[in-house]
Amino acid sequence: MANSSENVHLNRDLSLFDITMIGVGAMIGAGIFVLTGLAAGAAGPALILAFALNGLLTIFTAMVYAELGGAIPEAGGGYLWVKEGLPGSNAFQAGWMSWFAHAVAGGLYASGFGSFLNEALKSLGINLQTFLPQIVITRGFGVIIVLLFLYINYRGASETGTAGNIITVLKVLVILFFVIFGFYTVWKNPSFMDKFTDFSPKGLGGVVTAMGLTFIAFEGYEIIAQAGEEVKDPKRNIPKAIFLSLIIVIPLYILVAFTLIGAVNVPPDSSLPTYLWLGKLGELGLIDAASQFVPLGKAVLLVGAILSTMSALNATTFSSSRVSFAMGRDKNLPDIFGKVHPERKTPGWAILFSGIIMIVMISTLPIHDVAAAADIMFLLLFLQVNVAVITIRKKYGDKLAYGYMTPFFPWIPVIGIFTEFFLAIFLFTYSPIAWYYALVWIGVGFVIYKFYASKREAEKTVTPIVAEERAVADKKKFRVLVPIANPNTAKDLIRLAAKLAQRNDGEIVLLHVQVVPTQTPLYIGREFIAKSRELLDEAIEYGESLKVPVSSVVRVAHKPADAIINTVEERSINYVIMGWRGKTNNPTTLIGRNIDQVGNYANANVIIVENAQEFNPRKILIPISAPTQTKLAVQVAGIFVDTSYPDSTLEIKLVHVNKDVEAGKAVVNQIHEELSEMFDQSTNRVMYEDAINVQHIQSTQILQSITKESAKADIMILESTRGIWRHRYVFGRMHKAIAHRAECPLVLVKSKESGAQFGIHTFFQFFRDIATESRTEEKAELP
Amino acid sequence: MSQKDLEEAGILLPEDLWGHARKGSTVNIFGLILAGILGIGSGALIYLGDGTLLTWIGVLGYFIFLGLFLFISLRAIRKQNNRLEQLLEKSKNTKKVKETLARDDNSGDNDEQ
Repeated sequence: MANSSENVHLNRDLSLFDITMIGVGAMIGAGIFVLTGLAAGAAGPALILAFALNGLLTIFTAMVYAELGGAIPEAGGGYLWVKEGLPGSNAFQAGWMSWFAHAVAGGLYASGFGSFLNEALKSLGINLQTFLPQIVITRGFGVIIVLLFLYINYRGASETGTAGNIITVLKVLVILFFVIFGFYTVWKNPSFMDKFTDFSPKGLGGVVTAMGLTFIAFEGYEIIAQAGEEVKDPKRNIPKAIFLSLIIVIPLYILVAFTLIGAVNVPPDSSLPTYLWLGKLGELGLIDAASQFVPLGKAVLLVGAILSTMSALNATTFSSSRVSFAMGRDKNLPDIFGKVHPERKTPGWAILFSGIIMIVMISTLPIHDVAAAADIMFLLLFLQVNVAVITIRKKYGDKLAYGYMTPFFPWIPVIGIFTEFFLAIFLFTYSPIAWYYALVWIGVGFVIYKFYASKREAEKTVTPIVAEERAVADKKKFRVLVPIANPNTAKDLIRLAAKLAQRNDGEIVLLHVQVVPTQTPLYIGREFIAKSRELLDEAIEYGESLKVPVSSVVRVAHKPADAIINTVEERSINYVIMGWRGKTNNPTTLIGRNIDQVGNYANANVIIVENAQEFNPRKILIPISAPTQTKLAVQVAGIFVDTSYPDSTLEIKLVHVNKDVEAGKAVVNQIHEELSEMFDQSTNRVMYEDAINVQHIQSTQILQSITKESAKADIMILESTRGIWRHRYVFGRMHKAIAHRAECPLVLVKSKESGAQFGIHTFFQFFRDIATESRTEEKAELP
Repeated sequence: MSQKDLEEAGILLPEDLWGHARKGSTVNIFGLILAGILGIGSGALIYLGDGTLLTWIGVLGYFIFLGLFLFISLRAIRKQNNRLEQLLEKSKNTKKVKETLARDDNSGDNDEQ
């Protein structure tokens, strides 16, 4: 959502009937008229089962949509909820896939409309194919109908609803007309059951293929959700419309499948079984079938097909423009997408760009394969929404006003996740090229997110810089960030940073965060800059006296950790050096909330220095659990001691505690290897090399052994390790236990991760944070 | 969207109701289990019937499942919204009582002066 001053909302003018018709209109279009013939070819008479199973599966996700649609009725639907519930690029991808899926589905319907209109004109004796190739005619009609519906949607949601409602009611009547005459024909034929004897000629595989092929016909609830912001009394009407539209459409599909197979007769010149004959006719299968048993069947069905594709196109124009509108409003797409026409109150630009995608698709690409790609994207979107509903309940729980709540939570969304994943994968067997298209579109989405949307998002959410001195443009320069809050410890931290910067020919970035309470706007923080400047001026002076380049930044933030993380990202910081007051008894954090956040979300080497630190210590203890920790810990030890001369009083003791003698020895050897590799690579061979002593302590009591050793040390350097699943915090429980028991001051160190590692950790960390917050809130509520 | 955005958009409940609203789904669990068994059973009958009478019994069962599911869901939506309205009404009344008490206190202070 944009800044509060720029918030834009749409008129709430869609009733329960309007919104139900939008859902029905979206579903009765391609499903029955365009794809039924093809699906019959894949499943045989078991097409009935394919529709029934699709209906059953889609109900799981429909329940989730009903819950979220009622609770968060904003324009954007699935995209918005994924944005709310899942981290990073998930929301962008959800919106990106959803926009494409709806627009391409619209292109498919427009293309179908072109075919049906051409066929209708031929029936009337107007054969345009004498002047133009068929492909040009059908695509030309497709483009014209897209332009028409762009205009209708631009005129306003009420007009959209009225036009859509009339068309939807008419096409339901046409389908009922087809079904009634089909039933009459079946009734007259006593041996109609023979047509169903070979019920599933291609087995369950054929049924699943037909399910995948026609799944796009069940995505009407996504379109209902897209219109959330325009629905009257959304908490009641959105869930109701979702269920009503499905319960109208699913039986219609089954009845059409029954009459299609039961009533149609294969022409005498064809030896094919009914289902294969229908499959061969493709999108015209239903039309040709109707001509056999419905009075004026071809004409009536063609009118129905034309109306259906128009109505589905109307619904997809509506939904694709709403999702791009929501993305524009959230700064994931340029601002123009989020603009609402001042008089018509419709997102004109979002409608226009969605129309452009449809026209490009109709005109240039093999639309059926891309439509299958749209199918895959709908499945992936629904899959994400099913995950998001779980995290949203965790995150907001009882703060949301639900109009409907999914029962058997979280099992219903979990079933949705697995079934949609299975169907999406299975679609590869039907159309591999659709998967390639889908992957290309997702890949393009990642590129756009990386180079555009993530930066725009950061602009929106980043803590503002209110004062800056000597910002350095060279991004490759080595930088040490020192957040300064306490003037008493600032000098010690700057001294350490200066050593690190000097060794790497880098600079120091000093940061002061002006913290304002959550309920206070950030701009209020600007009024307190004078104090920040005083603190920073003193710090800069001291830094420069150490002969190191120094720059400074003042940020205003609600949380200091956010400001530090933003600065790390923006300035490509290599090291963060922070002060630490010492152990905390806060149950929600192990080391301290800010340090936990910085450790988890700032991708840089982080050094946490306990206050009252003794500098230039003589005895440094470094507990090592994995040999890979050695290098960074020893490097950090180097900045605490003066290394300009060999010193016999200096001892850097690396200890590994292990009950197994052989395993312990092996680790010690690996540590030695790490050290020699480190010193070999070093151009300035450090003088404290001789002071290093590596020891294995044979014990099962890790904590006690380290505590005992700490009594003999001046400081202890403790490096973190984190696995993807295992640790809630970078500085985990063992660190907390050591921090509580250590008998000397502590230095905590976290190493920078690779991009992929950091991405995975951040992803899982997001869910862990939600779970922890939820547990904390639950505890807080207990009497 | 942050929590603040949701609050500004009027999507979150008033703060005094946090912790009171969520009491599980209002969907009739017994009815839903029954509908679920009917739906899955009907699907199995459609397939196993292999185009015979059993298939059509399955189709009929499936339609009953859809009707039952719709009935259960609409009822759950009505119950959930009634519950929500009662909660909001209660919150309004509590606020009114608080405001009245505050006004009485102020007038009491004025009397003393």
